[in-house]
Amino acid sequence: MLTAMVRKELRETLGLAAIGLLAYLYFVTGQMGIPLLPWSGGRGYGIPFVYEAFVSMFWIVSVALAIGLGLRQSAAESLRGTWLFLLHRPAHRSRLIGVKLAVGALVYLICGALPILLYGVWAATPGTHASPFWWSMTLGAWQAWLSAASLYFAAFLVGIRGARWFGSRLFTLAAAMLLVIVIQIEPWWWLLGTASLLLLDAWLILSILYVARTRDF
Amino acid sequence: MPDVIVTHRLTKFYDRRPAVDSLSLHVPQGTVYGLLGRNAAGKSTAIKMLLGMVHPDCGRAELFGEDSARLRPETRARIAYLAEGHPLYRWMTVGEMVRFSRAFYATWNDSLVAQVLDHFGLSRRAKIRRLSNGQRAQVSLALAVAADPELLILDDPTLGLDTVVRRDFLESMIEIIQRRGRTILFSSHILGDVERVADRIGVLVDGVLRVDCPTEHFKESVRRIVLEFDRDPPALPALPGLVGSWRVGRKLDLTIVGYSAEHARLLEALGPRSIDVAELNLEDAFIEYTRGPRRPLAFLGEEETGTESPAAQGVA
Repeated sequence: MLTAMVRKELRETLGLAAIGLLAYLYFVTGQMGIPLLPWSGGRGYGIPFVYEAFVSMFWIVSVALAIGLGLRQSAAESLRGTWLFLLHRPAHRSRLIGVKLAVGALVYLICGALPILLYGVWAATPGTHASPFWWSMTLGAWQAWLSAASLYFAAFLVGIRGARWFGSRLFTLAAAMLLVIVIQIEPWWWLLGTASLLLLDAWLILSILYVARTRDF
Repeated sequence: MPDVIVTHRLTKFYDRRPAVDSLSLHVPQGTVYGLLGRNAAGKSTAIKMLLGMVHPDCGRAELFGEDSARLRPETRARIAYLAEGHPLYRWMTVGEMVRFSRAFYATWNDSLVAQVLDHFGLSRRAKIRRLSNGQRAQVSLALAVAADPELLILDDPTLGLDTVVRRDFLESMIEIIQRRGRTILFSSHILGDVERVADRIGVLVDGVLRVDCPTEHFKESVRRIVLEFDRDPPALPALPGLVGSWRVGRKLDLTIVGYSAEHARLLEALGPRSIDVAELNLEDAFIEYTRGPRRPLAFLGEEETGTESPAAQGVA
């Protein structure tokens, strides 16, 4: 059951993950001065990871990918009416949803981590750029990567929640977005920020499981 | 035979209106139960409540003696469910759909799936999204029977299928029914389908179960009575089992469930010139039961027509 569910979720998220990864790579290779596409320029922008727009751009791609994956896995089942088919499989509902969440979150995390690692390894390689580099310079990117993961769970919740109007469901996403932004500017981020994000993620996952158990399909 | 499906005063409200109202049902093992009703009569909601997909506002439902809202996976494995419209993963091929479903079941009859697919001429390589409605229904049926379920719940399985495919689908379903002791509950608004397959029927009208009886009994108990008068028809007395009444000029057209000598006596007391009693086929009986009070066609306007609400809607 587990393998079948994982395979299904991977197949369903593959397209979106590929688009997300390409977007990351387009952006990161541009920073590295290696144009992914002939017309994409890619002259490099100075000090790796520290260039001001890098984290913002990375955050935007991460948010788009996280929200896309969350909605793809939940709202698409609602739109196609396949929740009824899936939830009637002889398995605990929380387990089915849990596998979905685990696969979606992992796909997002891997897609986001690969370009950071690629860029980091490139930056750590001597002779690639004329500026100093320490791995601690990547912290801003990891922070954006980790915080956007919460938006994946929020988007999943938006897709699985029952509401009269889709717009009202988006309040959940808007609230999560606001919280993530607030958490990002917390002092001692790796202590308070990470703990706050984990708490937010835990709350969102519990909400998803609660909604899956109690809503009418 | 033990009851496989039991509901007690099962009720669900949508927008403060009851979609299903106090549904109490007992379906014994081995029964083929046809749940009839017009669109929005509450059939799908009732079925979803049976399977724990919709939570009742009050009342309870049990399948195999287990609360529907908390069915264990082992119990769910004994139940096949075909949802309305046959939702399947459209990006999968038929073969992938079979492999995906098989992974959830301890017992899975691969040769039966192959037989059913072969019978319908379906290729395992065919993409679900390229299949017609009828073919998707056939794939759903193959998936449903492969796990050798003891209970099949089918929500309007022939909806959107053409006559030939419908007949073929039903015949296949009958073959499956004939396998040992299976219980089937299926909803439909196509009377011919129900008449051919079900040995017991329930009729839902506006969420209320108005009829719950053997199919033959329902057909035999509903009568259409036409009273012709020399004058304007008088007011009707209270008639038990009166489902509908319709006045056309000096004629009074009544539909009565369980027509008896007592009914005849009461109607003769009205002094009609003639009384015609006719049997109704299942379709006519169903229509009379479910259509509610008839309204005159105002734009015709020539004949004086009148409407009276049903005095009573009894359970046959």
